[in-house]
Amino acid sequence: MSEYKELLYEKRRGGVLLTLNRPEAMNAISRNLIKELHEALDEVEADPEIRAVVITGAGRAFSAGMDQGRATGRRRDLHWPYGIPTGLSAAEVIDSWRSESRNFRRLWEFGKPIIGAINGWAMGAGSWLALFTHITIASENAVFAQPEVRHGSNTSFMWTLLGGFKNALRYGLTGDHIDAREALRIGLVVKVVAAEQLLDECFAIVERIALVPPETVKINLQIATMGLDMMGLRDALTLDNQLSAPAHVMLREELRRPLDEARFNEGIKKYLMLRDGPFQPEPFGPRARKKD
Amino acid sequence: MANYQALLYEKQRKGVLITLNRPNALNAMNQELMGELDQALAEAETDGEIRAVVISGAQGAFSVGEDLNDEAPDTAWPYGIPQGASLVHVYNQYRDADRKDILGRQLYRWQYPKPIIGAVSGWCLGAASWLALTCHLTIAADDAVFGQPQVRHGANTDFIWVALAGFKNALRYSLTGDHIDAQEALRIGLVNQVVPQNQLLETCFAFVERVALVPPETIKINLHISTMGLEMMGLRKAWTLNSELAAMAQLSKREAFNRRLEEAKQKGGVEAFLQARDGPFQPEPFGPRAKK
Repeated sequence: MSEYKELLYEKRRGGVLLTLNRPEAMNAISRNLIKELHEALDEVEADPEIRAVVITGAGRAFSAGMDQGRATGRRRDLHWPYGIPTGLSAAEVIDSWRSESRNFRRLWEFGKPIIGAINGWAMGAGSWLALFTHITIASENAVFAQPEVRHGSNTSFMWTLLGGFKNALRYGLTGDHIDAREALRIGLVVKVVAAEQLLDECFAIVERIALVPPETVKINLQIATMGLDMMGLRDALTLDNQLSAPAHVMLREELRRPLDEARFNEGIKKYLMLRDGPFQPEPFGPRARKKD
Repeated sequence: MANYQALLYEKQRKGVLITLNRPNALNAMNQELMGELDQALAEAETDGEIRAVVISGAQGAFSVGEDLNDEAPDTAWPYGIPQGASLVHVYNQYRDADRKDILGRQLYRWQYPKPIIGAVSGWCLGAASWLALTCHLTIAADDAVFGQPQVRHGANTDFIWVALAGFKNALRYSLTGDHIDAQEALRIGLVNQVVPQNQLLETCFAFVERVALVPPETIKINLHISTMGLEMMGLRKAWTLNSELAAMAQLSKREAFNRRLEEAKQKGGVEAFLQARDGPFQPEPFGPRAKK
């Protein structure tokens, strides 16, 4: 069994619980975490005792998205007026972005069911990870959003596939948050349960899956996943992948530079306040619901 | 700025309100109105101050669809095509008109680089439902009514109903032309939200202002991830077929079904025509009155 630093790997009840385990960074997806997630999936593939995978997050977040830190993620200082990281050519930047989303396609194509147990914040690429799982269950505390669009970044076509065209655009264009009930209404998740019942709910599904022959489960997964691929999902995700490059290169100095300077001088909190403050209060977030 | 006769063009709150303005004809879509809508969208596309477009209808209706007063000359029976015209001539004419007037315009709006928001109050019928639904977002007032009653006299539906509402819902309403109210439109995914009539434009422009907080290039890319992703998944093909079938639908008039309607129109005008066509379908089982 591999040694994991940023992931917990716990076999139980016919399956395995993979916990994204960087609670101090709200389980932001670092390069290393992606690497460990792939290693864990390798291990699951080779272990016949494991019939299904549950992925959740440690602490109050599922995942806050791609790691924005310099050392662990891939952020670098942008050079103005070009809007590209210092020392890189535009060609290199574009190329690096185009290789990105392969990481989640592996989940889609995986031969055993993957269940997302969304325990809290699922932002940006954290929401994509949640949506690429085959079955997604949310706790009442879950919040889904792609706020990175506010500083110049792309959405994922998975939101359009699952949430439908109009809903995906309503939330994807502005990065507005949605709560678990809205995620259920538009089809991002299958069920909403109380936080303390989340893992039990998921492993009850794992145990039912374990009653069905493995080959049958695999074939039936593929009828859905490969069927959608055949209907054009693979083409749409290929385009999505290509568009992620220009999304990150077309940065306007007057909009982006103040954000990066705030982050450099005053830290991530100030950066987020500057970026998200004008959008608050979030009209579809959990707090908005309590008012009505 | 262009001078518009059949619509209103009012810049406001980081966007523009385009109002279909033929209230005496319930904003029916004649050549003049659709030509002006092309012009208005082109004007908004190049205006850097406009970040999103809201399309609405004047005085209590979005639009009742294609103007029946624009309709073709008298039908020759039993052939079911206009007097004195050959089949090949009529087929060609319909086919070219549909490509230019419907498909061309639909793709232009679909691929438009700024969000287009349909603000629907009152009647939204036939081709006007296609206009409303191909907007990137659609917000309905509680008095909105959607339907494609033109199918009752031999005309086609549009695949956008299937793309948004799903196979079974689209067929339930489009095979019969039955009306649906705003709540049913929300349930099946035709609209994002239902609001009281007096909050319709406010809701739309509050969204426009949130869009305006996000960089324009990001908005454009994220629109394209959804719109072009669906094209990659086959929507473009479905619309191409739709356009071919539209021409054939125009040639599907049967004496037993259509002659009575056309004679009613000759004697009593559009009102008598509608009475003859829609009377047998009343009361509308899913219309707003059914609910009460």
